[in-house]
Amino acid sequence: MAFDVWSISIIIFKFISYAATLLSAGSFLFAVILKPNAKLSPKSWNILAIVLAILASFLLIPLNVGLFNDDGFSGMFDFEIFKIVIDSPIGDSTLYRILGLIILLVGLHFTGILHNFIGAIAVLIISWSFTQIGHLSNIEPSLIKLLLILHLLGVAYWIGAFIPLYRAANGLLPDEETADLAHRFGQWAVYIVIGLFIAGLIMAFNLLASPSQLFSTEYGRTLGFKILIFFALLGLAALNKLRLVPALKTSQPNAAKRLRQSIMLESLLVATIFIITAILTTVTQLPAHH
Amino acid sequence: MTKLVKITVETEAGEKTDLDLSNHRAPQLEHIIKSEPLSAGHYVVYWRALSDDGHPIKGSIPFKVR
Repeated sequence: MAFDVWSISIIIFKFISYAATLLSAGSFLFAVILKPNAKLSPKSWNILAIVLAILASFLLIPLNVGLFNDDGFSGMFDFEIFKIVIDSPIGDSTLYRILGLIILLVGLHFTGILHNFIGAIAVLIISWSFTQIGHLSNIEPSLIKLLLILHLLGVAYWIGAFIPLYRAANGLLPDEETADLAHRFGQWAVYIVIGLFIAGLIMAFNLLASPSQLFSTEYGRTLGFKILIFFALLGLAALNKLRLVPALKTSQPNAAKRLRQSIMLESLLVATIFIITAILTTVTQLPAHH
Repeated sequence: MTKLVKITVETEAGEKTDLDLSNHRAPQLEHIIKSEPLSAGHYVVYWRALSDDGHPIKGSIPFKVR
């Protein structure tokens, strides 16, 4: 892996773009599927996340121009290289992502079925944007793109729960209502996480020529580290479902505090996964297929 | 297939010249670009390209003209 100021900057902005984009999409999915109390997800926060996602995604264009030009700050504004980047998978992916985010933003101003319909279109376009670039974009069969979309929708649903559940456990809802919300989230999450994991596994098999490349190649080891963090995340989620949520339901002392701490730790692990993904998609090469 | 983005030739003295790629923008497996005749000395060619899955790739080729 070769890091320089441009690749590090791209990794940082990819991380922000991934986190803010999937958080925005996830907030929509969480709200539509579980219909929680609206005060758990302030509209202003949703708008902020979407705007941040749009900005971070947009800034990846000049940063990539700068990477190619490698001629200092002013190199980001080379028009010839800008045209090449825009007319590439980088440009396609960014266009779809920003389009989806803008539609999501517009959808926030509606309610009911119209809000749900517009949001669903937006989330699908956003998920589609991730299939336009990267190691999986050219792999056959095209079913792999569908797996990536399902994988991302699962991730979005999962992280979309963090803020509402944290706020609920922080006193915005009584313990019993928080436990009920967390329980309903968990009922969906079991199937979604299983699907997310299977989709991820199939994608990993298509990226690596053999399981041994998980250990013998730089890409494989980085991917392996991501999988390890995912298992840690799974462990925390299981702890929430089997111990913390039942404890909250019976209003045991400190149950809400422990749930909040668990959500904070889950958020940290998810952030780590996003950083690893940004590194994988920026400075690592796919191992050779034989 | 890759799309060439930038090629720079650097002399021993550190002088850099970007090659004109305006006729070499199409994605291809192999690119052949002519430069001006070079005098004797050590040079490095720095190249940057865009892979068809959107990844920036780069490399350098040192060579010597006798």
